[in-house]
Order: sequence, then C-alpha cells, then structure tokens
Amino acid sequence: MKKYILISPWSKMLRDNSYNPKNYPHWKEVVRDLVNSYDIVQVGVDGEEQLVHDFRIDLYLSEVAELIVKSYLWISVDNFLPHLAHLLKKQGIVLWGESDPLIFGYPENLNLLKSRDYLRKDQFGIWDGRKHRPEIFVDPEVVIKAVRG
Amino acid sequence: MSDKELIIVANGCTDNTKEYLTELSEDERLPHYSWMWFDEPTGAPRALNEGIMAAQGEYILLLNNDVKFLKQRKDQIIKMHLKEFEKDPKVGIVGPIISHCVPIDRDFIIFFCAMIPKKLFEEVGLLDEIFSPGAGEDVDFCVKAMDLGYKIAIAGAIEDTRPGLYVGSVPIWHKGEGTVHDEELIKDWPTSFKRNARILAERYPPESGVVRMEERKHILCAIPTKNRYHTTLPLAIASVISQTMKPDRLIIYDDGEHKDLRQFPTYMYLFKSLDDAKIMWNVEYTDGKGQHRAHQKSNTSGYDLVWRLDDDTYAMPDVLEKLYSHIKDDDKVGAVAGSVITPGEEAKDITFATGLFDINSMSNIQWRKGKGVVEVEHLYSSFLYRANIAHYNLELSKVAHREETMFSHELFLKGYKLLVDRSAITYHYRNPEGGIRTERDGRLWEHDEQIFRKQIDKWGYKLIALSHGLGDHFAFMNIIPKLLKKYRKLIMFVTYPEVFEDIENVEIRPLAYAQKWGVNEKGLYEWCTLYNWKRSIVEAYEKIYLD
Repeated sequence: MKKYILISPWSKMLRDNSYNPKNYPHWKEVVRDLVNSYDIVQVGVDGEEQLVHDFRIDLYLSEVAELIVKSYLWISVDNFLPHLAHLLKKQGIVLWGESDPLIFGYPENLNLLKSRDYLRKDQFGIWDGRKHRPEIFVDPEVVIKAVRG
Repeated sequence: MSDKELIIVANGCTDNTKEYLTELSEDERLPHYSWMWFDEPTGAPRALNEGIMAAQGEYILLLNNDVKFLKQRKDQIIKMHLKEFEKDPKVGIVGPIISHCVPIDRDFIIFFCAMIPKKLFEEVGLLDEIFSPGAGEDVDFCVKAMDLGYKIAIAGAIEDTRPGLYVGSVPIWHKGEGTVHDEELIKDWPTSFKRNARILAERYPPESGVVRMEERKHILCAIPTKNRYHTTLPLAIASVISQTMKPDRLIIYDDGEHKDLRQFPTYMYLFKSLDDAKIMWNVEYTDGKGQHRAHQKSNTSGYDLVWRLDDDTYAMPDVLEKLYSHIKDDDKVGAVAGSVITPGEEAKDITFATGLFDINSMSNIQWRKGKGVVEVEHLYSSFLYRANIAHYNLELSKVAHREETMFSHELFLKGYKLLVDRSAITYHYRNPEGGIRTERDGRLWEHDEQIFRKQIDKWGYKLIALSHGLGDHFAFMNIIPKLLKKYRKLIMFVTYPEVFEDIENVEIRPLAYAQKWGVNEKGLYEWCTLYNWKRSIVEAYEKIYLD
C-alpha cells in the first residue's frame, strides 16, 4: 500500500438528523486532487457519505488508532479523531469552522481556520439547530497546499 | 483465726495496701498473721509459691485477691473443703468449682479458692511459674497431681451454671479475672492467656493425640442477634453445634430484648449440646446500637479468627471446616466466605459481582452456589476472618448498612486476599421478623450510605461520570496520569468504555450506574460556560478534577 492519507471528514450527525455545522464543505475537491498522489482511507460510521473507495466504517477504536499511527497524514474536522491522534502523538490537519481550535484543538496540529470572526459566541452550546455555513471554511486549495507542503 | 495461719503475699501494689497490711499486724484476732512484700508484680504463680513455702499448716487454702467470704457459720468454708479429704484419702485438691480445660480435655480445680495438703506440694512440686502472670498454673498442678493418682473434688455442690457464672454452695464470692484486664497491671492479657494455653496443649496432648489448640486456632463464632429468639436464632446455634470442625467459643450478642434464654427449653437443649460438643459459649448483652458493634467486640476479643454468622442463617456442617482450610496455611488470606443463599430465591444471574464497585449493579457471587474458589474485593453476611486487622466502622447507625462490605474491603486494601468457596453453603433466611428488617426509617440507611461513600473517598477511590462525546472522552484521557497520582483508583462511569480499557487502576462502568453511586457528572460544558472558559478543554478538565 502506498503512503496513505487518513481522512475523517464528518462530525456526528445531529439529533434531528441534520448536517453538522462542523462538517467541511469542500471534501470532494480536496479528495479529487489528492487521490492521484496518495491512497486515501476514510473512516466513519455507517450512513455517512462515502468520499473515497477505501471507506472503513464502524471500526473499533483500536483499529482507528492503528490507521492513525500508520498514516502518512491525517485530515479531520472537529470530531473525535484529533483528540485520539493527540494521545497517539501523531500530528495532522484539522479543518475548523465555528468551533475554536484554541479550546477544542491541539497546538501541534495544523489548524486551518478561515477567521476567528466566524467563531460562534457560545462555544459550549449545542449544535442542534445551527445552520451550516460553507463560507466560513478555508478554500480547498488551502487544504491541498497544506497537504502537499 | 486463732488456730489458722494467714499469709498475704503482696506484689506490685501501688495503693495503700502496705499500710493496710501493717495495720493488720496489730489485729489481735490474727495471732498467726504474716505478710510478704514485693515491689514489682511477681505474677500469681510465684506469689502463691512464696506463701506455700512459708506456710506451716497441714492444709493450705489458696485464695485470690478478688474473693470475698460470704456470711457463713464458723469455719464453714474450711470445713466444707476438709470434709472431702476425709471422705476419700485419694483426694489431693478441693475447691468450690471444677472447670474443664478444653485444649487438653482435662478437668481441674480453679485456684481462686483451692485447698491442698502441704505435703502434696512436696510430691508434685510448687506451681510452675512459666505460667506467669497467671492462668494455667492451676490446670498444670491438678493434672500433675491426677497423673500421680490423686483426685480433685468439689467442696459442697454446684447448684447452677449460667453463662460465665457458677453458683455453688460454698459461701464465697469470686469476681473473676479481677486483675488481668487492667492494662496498667498486666499488659496484653489475651496474648498471655493464649501462650499459656499452648504450653498446656503441648505438655498434655489429649488422649486422641490431637492437640486441639493447634487445630482450632482459637476460632470464635460470633452471632449478633435481635429479637429472633423463637424463629431463626436456634437454627444458627444448632448449625454451629453440627459443624464437623467446632469453633472454640460461641458468643451470642443479644442486641434486642436481653432475654434470659435459659428459661426456654429450646435454648437449654442447645446450651447442653454446646457443652457436650465442647464449645465454650456465653451470651453477651449489647447496647442495641447495631450488630457492627458486637462484631467489633468479637474482632478485638483476642481470638485469632472470627467466624461471623447472622442470626437468620444455617451453616451446613462442613462450612467452618471448608472456610478454615483456605486460611490456616496461607497467611495472605484475610477472610473466607462461602455461598450464602436464600433457599428458593437463589440468584439466577449469569454474571456475578466480585468487585466493590459492582455491588449496586450485579448480584453478589455469594448469592448463588457453585464450584470453585473465587477471589473477591469484599464479602457479604457470613465469613471467617483474621481478627484485629481491620475494624468495623462504629459511625454506622443501628441498621449497620454496608458494615461487612467496609470491613472486608479494608482487609483487602491491607493486602489480604478475600476468598469465596462456593461449595461451602450457608442458608440465609432473611427473616422478616427481628434484626434490621423491622427498622422502617429510611434515613438510617441513607446515613450509612453516606458513611460508605465517605469511606470510599478515604480509601482513595475517585468516582467520575463522563457523559460527553467521544472526543471529550479522549481529551479526559490526558489528565488520567495526574489523577492516578492523586487517587488509588479511578472508577469511571462513561459513555464510551472502550476509550479507557486496559488502563491500570482505572475501572470502567456503564454511565447508567453512576446515579446508583451518587455520582453526578461535573458538566464540562456547563462549567466552561459558567466560567467563560477560553482555554483548552484539557485544561478545563484539570481545573475541575485536579484543583
């Protein structure tokens, strides 16, 4: 297997089954660019949108941990994966929207935040009912450049 | 006293005894009076020997200093004793009370009052001072005399025996052990007593060849009881009598109406059976404040092992023998229990609790019979334990909720193994009458539960509930090393148990059980909102749990 990039593209679906506002809206563009140079492995749960051929669903945490450790790089939104990666001392890229990387992130990662102006005021409130705003996320070129750089 | 010699041997006295003895020298009623003085305590055997050697009379009446002659005809006590020597020339020792020395299975005259011909001391020898400070020298002397062909005899007659009290026809009152329990006079009497018993056991092994002291290891059976006199208490006592291996003593701690059980035929038969089974026994009235207090008394009574039974249980005949077999040769075993089952209501679960923190969520492994021996972290109801290592919590209320859990877990934390031999069966009837089951005030149980929770804190356990998302569980992992420096063990009630698997000193339980332990989650997000938190959630966790 070539060097692979591990992606964890989605945050947990909300209770009302709506799209989580933390989800990065430009995954397809990123994947389209990177897939020629890298194997890409996606982790997630059954029911989430599949972005790549190698989509591994409902893994044990130990299996996810192994994928993180053996990856060339991981890219994630603000979900569980950056926290697990921090414990495994594996750096990666986190794509932020409204949640604050200073609170929920780790400094060793590359935290891509378009602007602190877009951060929600109530960082500890629930996400249910919040509208997804694609414009507050960095452009896919920024992500691609970060990976290749 | 004109024809009698009085010799007093004072040793180790610190009061005005000397002045009193000096005054007696002036008493014209005591023409043949003398006294000896030893500044330091000599022990009873030596003190008696000094008097024996100095005595001039044909017969010597030995008396303890905690006796009192009651109203009597002139020389009645003396004559009652002398009469026995006149009746049978083979009699060598006479006294008001014959007792039985269980370790060596021999009778003897208790030397609080005993008449012995002076010449017998020349034949047998003086009292053996190895038994100092006392207890055993009378047994030893009587056995030596009997082995030379002499007999022992009772002066007068025994009229009645009661638990811990003898009533005879000799007009004398004896307080009994009036000196030995004063720690300022005699240090650690129980240890001394046991040592002397072992000396006797080694010197005079019973005819069976079995040295019962070594076999039994001084086992005390303790049955606290409350108002179950006519229901299940007799069953518990009967089961003790039927044991293939007998305890040395049974103490019934009456925490209820303090009835005189001798008035009931059932108990007269049981007491006689205990006597016949050579199990010493007595009934002790306690203060009605709960069985844990009685258990603490038995725990500190000087026995090596205590076998505790509830007053609504029946132990199958092989229970004590089985329990003892696990503890006698393994110093690392602190306590052993068996299955304690309610007939007809045996627990039917598939998995059973062995850990302390399973008690609110699973059936106890003791509640169902089975095979094998299992190690556990706490014990329930009836078990055999090493005494005077752990202690019962006397802050508990009279319902003594969690008393045996706290006690046995303390043994566990001191490094001892707790075992359950599932084949040793005790029936537990959960008698609805008497005991704690008549208590209706729920506040008593709440009080004790709070004591238990505080004890859990004192033991160094930290109970934590986490209901947050998976990412927050991982974030919490960052502070676990620091928490484990502060606490003995973390008990974590979590949504994602797999996050914390295989971490030493971290036990995981489902979040649903947190409430049963009174553990409320310290809402991370609520806390952060309250304090307008701007730093990382790992630092927030540190602030909440480590500050």
